[in-house]
Amino acid sequence: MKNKQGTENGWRKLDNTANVFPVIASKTYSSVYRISVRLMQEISEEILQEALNETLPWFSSFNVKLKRGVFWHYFESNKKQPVVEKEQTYPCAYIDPNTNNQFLFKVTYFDKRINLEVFHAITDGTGALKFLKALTYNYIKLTYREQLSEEILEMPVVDVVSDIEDSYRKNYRKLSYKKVKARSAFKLKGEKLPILTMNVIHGLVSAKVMVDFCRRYKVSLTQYIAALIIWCIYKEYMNEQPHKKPIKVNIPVNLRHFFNSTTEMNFFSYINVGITIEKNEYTFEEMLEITRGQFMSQLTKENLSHLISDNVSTERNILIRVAPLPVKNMGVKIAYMGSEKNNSSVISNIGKVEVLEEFKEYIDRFEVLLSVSKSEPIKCGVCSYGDKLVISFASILKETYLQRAFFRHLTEQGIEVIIESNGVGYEKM
Amino acid sequence: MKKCKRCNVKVYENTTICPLCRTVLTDIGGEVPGRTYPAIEVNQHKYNIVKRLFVFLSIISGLATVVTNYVTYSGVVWSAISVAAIIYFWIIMTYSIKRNTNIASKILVQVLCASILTVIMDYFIGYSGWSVNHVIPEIIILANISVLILVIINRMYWQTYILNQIIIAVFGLIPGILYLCGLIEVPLPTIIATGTSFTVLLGTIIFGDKSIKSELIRRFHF
Repeated sequence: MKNKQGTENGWRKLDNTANVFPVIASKTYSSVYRISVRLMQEISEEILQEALNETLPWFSSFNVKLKRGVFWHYFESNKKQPVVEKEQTYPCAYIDPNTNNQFLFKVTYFDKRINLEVFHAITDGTGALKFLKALTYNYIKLTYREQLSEEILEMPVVDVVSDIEDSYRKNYRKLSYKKVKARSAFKLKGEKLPILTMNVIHGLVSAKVMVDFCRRYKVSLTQYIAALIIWCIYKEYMNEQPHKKPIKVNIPVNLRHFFNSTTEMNFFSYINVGITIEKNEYTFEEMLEITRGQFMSQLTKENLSHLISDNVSTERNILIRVAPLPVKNMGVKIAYMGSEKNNSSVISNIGKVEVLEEFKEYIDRFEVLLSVSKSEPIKCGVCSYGDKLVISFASILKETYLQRAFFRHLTEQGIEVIIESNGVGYEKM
Repeated sequence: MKKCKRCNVKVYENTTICPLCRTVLTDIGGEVPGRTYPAIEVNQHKYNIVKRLFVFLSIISGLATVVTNYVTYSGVVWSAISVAAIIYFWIIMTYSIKRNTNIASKILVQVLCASILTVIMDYFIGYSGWSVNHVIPEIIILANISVLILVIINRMYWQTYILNQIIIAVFGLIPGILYLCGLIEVPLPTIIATGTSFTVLLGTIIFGDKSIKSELIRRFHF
């Protein structure tokens, strides 16, 4: 094919938040997250590779390499093929833009699990999940070709094709509002695991039981988990004493619902739930109530518009636009170092994963893992599929105080928890 | 399946220790699963002996030449040349061996570093102008030809080399300017170097057309 498109590489700008990630990513904080799907049978490398080759052309958001311009990074379409590998590192390892055939994502597999590891510059959890679902459909189609009906084999694997709008710019309105300076948060400290080692602990609970349980307290699942993590930090790391720094958890919010977008690029923002421990005695119920209140006040379209406005207006500032890339990078690094102080931990709930009815019987469950850093050493990823709710902790701390207190709290409430880990907790003693 | 009586959780894993609290688990029957995560044995932090050896030797030999030069000083700061050469060696080692970087940009880095190195050498052994008269023009001619060969071999990806090609060609015009300022005593190499650079530049602009424009737009978008 030697047409115009063949000779000329397409390119596009990074979306508004994506600009940060190429600057801050490093071996020790990769900005890579993992979404995995566990199927019913062991994964075959050849079929997975074939499924990936079929999936990638549908996603121009993934089919890119990162390039440096004079003023900004940009994406150029990547003509190479990504290679499927057997999992051989800890989850969420740094993806060097110059290796991996210059792709910014990785597909690995182990046992019955397919892992999609994505560098945050290309997309957020929603975009990645869309890709993983398409990949899984293709994989299932190829594996069970004989058993599946013609109708299912012909079924499209995506609904919206390659929507790569920058929804931040699309929904940008110039707003002026009073900015509140964020207070630096209480940090989890402790002895670290050997460098680049990650302790992964998944807790599997029944989604139905958990949702019914949260309903009793009139809170959402994310609110409950956020409050429980704050509670565990208070119990295990603060020793139930007052402290001048608040415990703050950062919760990424998918903006697509709020602004009616279907983009495959990043479109998320954060809310921050923080509790300052001022008195000696707190009950869990009190913390739950505070958390719920903060969710209600922050999770509004108005507040989220402010955050978008803030980000986009910074990017559009003419002085920032004309600064050469190395100068911008320095600015971003400094700003990032400041913002890092603001969170004790991060909770990302990608919610209930829905798949096409026809493929349900082949899929066991989905899992999410986030990359951690020195300043945010434990992060929590949540997702559910069918009745299987998986709460996954990624950590670089040797001790598992937070995870232990978290799951013990659930079992004390009578909720059955099944634990699975990657073995670091007892192997790297 | 196993159970931890302290945490009161079930553990679905091939282990006898609780991942949460390291209590010894009680077996409650049912199947024992295989590994769900790989055992990672490779030490990720590789101890690179060759690199360490080179760092060590570079520092030692750099310091040794400076000290020797200082002790036996006879009017020539020759140690500056060896230190510059060591620095040049490191730039080449770290940049040029990197995989997946644009070959044309490797050539560009070579042109700049080698030119600076020759000027330093020339300057410290009593400036006689051989660097600007002969070596730099020759480096430029060579670089122009190399990039041209790259473009011919890899026509499909020409636009990825364009920016580097333009920078090398513009750099190649500098000896011409020096000549006009009267700083060049041996004109022939300079005339050839500037001539090839100008030809390459003109050729790129005329034949490049849209691909140059699109490459420049993406590189300079703001």
